Amino acid sequence: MVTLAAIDGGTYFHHHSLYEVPFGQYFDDRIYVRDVGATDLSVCKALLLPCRLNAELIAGFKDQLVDYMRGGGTLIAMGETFPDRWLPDVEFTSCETNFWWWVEGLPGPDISIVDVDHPLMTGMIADRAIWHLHGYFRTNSLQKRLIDEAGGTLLFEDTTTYAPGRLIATSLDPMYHHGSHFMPATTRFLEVFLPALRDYVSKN
Amino acid sequence: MGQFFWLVNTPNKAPDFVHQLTQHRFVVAQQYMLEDQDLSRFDGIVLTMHSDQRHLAANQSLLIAFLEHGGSIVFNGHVARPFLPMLKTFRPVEQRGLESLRMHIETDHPLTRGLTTDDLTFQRSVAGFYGRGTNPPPDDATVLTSVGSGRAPVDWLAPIGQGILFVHTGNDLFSFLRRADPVELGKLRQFFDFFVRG
Repeated sequence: MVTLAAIDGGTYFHHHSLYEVPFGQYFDDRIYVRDVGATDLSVCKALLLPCRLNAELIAGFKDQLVDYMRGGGTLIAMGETFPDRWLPDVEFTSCETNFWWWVEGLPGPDISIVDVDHPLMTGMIADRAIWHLHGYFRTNSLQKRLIDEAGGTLLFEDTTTYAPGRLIATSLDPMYHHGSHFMPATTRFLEVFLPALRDYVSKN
Repeated sequence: MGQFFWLVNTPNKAPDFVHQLTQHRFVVAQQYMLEDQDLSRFDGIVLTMHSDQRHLAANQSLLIAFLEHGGSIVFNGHVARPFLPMLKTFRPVEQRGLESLRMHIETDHPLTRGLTTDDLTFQRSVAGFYGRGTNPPPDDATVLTSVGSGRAPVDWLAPIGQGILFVHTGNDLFSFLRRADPVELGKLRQFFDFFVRG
């Protein structure tokens, strides 16, 4: 059984985040995006869609992802994969991204860790999740908010809609920036998120 | 007028300027349309930072044939999988303060003419956006810009057959060229003019 696999979109930022040090160690397998249709995903306990994986491509195998979750798998949709475009019941609103608040002397994203006791949030503090925002989820009663910002939810978990599997989705895009050797805050986020994720899915 | 094939690998379209540069025509398509096109009608192929390099590698012979017959390829990004034989994998520079990220213009060339090192080094007084390492060039390349005190090549051109391979070792060259002349878009026009087949 594979604990944590990721889909590789073939981009350089996926390559750096999924294969190279320091984060390659957290992934047991990577499935090339064009091979997903011919792959038995059920051998993976968890499957991560890295930041900016082309949502038009994901839409082409969305039914396979739903079947994967309904078969007990955990699907993690990272930032800019737009799960609202290929899953029902996910409501997302893009926002205008202010990349420059720290230069302009403006307050940064107002991050709060909603459930500090959730295993996925082990080691997570607000400072590690502050770089910029691309949008917010508006959660329903089945989607458990884990990271919020003043404007809405940035990371949630849904253990019900696709039970016995689950969906974890975030609008944060650390793998794109870390993978571009850019924005150290995003590396600090992954330093705690990926080990927590791996530990969580290996026990659940 | 030049005709360029702009391959995207996101749900987004190409940037707005492709519709404003009326001197040239840009055909925008999802990357996997590459194999379905008659490439000979294009002056250049534009590959963005979002390119699926595994797919490009699988189509290496097609890309080489395009270059050898006089087409140009413009690549933005870090080389993770050398998808052409003259490419080598990206090497980051050690980021230690401003001098490690300062850009240098190495060659007086139509593609860099009128640009300043500050145009390339800074966005809102912050360095590091343009280039943070090198896609190492082949020996016969012309290095246009470099980064840091070690002068690691960032932008370079290499002749391949009758065509040209242009490499920008960064996320998005075009956003910088637009900022350098945001009203007339002269730097962008100058860039694409260069790649029109002679």
